[in-house]
Amino acid sequence: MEATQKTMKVTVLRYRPEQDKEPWEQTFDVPYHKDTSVLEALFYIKDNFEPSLSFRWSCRMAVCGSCGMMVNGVPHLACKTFLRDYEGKDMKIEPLANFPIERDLVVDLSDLIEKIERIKPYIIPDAKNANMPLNKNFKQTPMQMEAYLQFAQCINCGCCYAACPQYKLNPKFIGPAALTLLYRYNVDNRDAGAKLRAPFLNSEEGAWSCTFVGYCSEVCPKHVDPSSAIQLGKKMSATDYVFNMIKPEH
Amino acid sequence: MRQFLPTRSDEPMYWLMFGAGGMVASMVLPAIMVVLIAAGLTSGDLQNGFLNLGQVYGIFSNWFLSLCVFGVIFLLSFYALHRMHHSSHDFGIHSKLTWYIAYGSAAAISFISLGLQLLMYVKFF
Amino acid sequence: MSEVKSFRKPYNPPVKKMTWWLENPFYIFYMVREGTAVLALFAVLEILFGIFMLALCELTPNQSLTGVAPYVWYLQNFLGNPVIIALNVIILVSQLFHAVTWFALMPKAVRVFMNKNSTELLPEWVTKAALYLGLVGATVVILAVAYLTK
Repeated sequence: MEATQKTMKVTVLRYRPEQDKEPWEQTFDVPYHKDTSVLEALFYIKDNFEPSLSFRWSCRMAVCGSCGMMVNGVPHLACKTFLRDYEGKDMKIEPLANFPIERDLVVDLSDLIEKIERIKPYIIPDAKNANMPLNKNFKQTPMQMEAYLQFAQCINCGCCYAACPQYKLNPKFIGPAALTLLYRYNVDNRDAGAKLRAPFLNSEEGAWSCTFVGYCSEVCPKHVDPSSAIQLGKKMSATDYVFNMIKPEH
Repeated sequence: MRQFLPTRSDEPMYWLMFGAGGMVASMVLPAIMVVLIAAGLTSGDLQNGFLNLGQVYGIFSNWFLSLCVFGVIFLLSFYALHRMHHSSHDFGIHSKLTWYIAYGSAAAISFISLGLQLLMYVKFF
Repeated sequence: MSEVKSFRKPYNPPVKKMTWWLENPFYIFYMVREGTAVLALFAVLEILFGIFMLALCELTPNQSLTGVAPYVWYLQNFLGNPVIIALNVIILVSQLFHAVTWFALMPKAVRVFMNKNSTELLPEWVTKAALYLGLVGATVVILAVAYLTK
């Protein structure tokens, strides 16, 4: 190894449910070069110091959304975050905030998954198109695609939930990613399920728990901009509210 | 499986007032503050200072200008108290009480202003 | 059922319900942004107080100074009070700060296409420029009217 090899003090939050009452910190000296990612630093720790260290990962290229974790208190994908950007500082790696910790850096994301399921994140065609033969296609113009495409980039990593103080304060809040996907399907011209999703958007735990802190958009590794989708969802919900006042549905 | 759907929130009503009030606070309030500061600095001159008697008579005897003042007070009070209601939640106070205090105060401020302005309008004629 | 004992014991980190926002500069900025509303409310109460004092006056065209004493007191002893003037300057600055944060977030709630055949969105700077023009326009109009009618 070269003499110029740099090292960084990396502190990892450890939690072993079978023996620990509370999480504790463990510090390692990790050598790094200009393209060492946080995920690779964790591999190094697991290979050289602490084989029992647990963390989730899969694709190593920011498409699977498995390796969301807090780096110096900010939600990041470990594979997309590099030690070179923390030069001269120490690094502290913790599991994703606002989720229960299962073991070391592994959190229980069930709540996120359940909330995404709740808003029916799939295209619900109208009655006319419901039984469309498989050899026929929906037509979509480039503009109709542009309307939702940005919000379809979500990889369900949970970084926005870790960034959201409203989710921290009230775990009933359906949260940024679910609301973003709700908006994404509502504005898709192939979809006719807006009415089925409306109760989740219009409720207190829906879009109305959001106070536009805007940190979800700041940390989103895929630049989905959830806070924008939520504000657009609020406009959708407010319009629905006014129409419902004029002409109640039931 | 029967699913229990969440109930519709009344928040849109307050949110729309908050949005309009936030616009007023960002576009109109700075100028109003400049006028209030100028009025304080020129208050020695009761004839020609800012917000002198003649000027405020002019504002409140004109139904349109008076209505504009009321609009500013109404929207700003709902805007400010809506934000403060949500801030109380950010400080960990989750209670229906802050809802009543916030929107009750905003309504009270608006009604008092409307009453006083109507009273003045009647007094002028 | 598996014979293997489960060691699952999810740990829920405690939530600091009062002080969570001190942990991140972004959250502190958010709380300051929200806090400007307190000063806006104070400005409303100031205006309302002025209306109240004016309503106490005899509102006749031939004003005698005794009949308008409450409003003169409001003008000279309240608005003219150096403490209130200093506070009003702070409110002015806070509302300009509010305007900057408000205008910065507003484009996120606007998602319109340039024209009906375009895939290009209206750029953020157009929305922002329109809002700043609104601020400048409203300020000019109010100050001009206030100056010309006094």
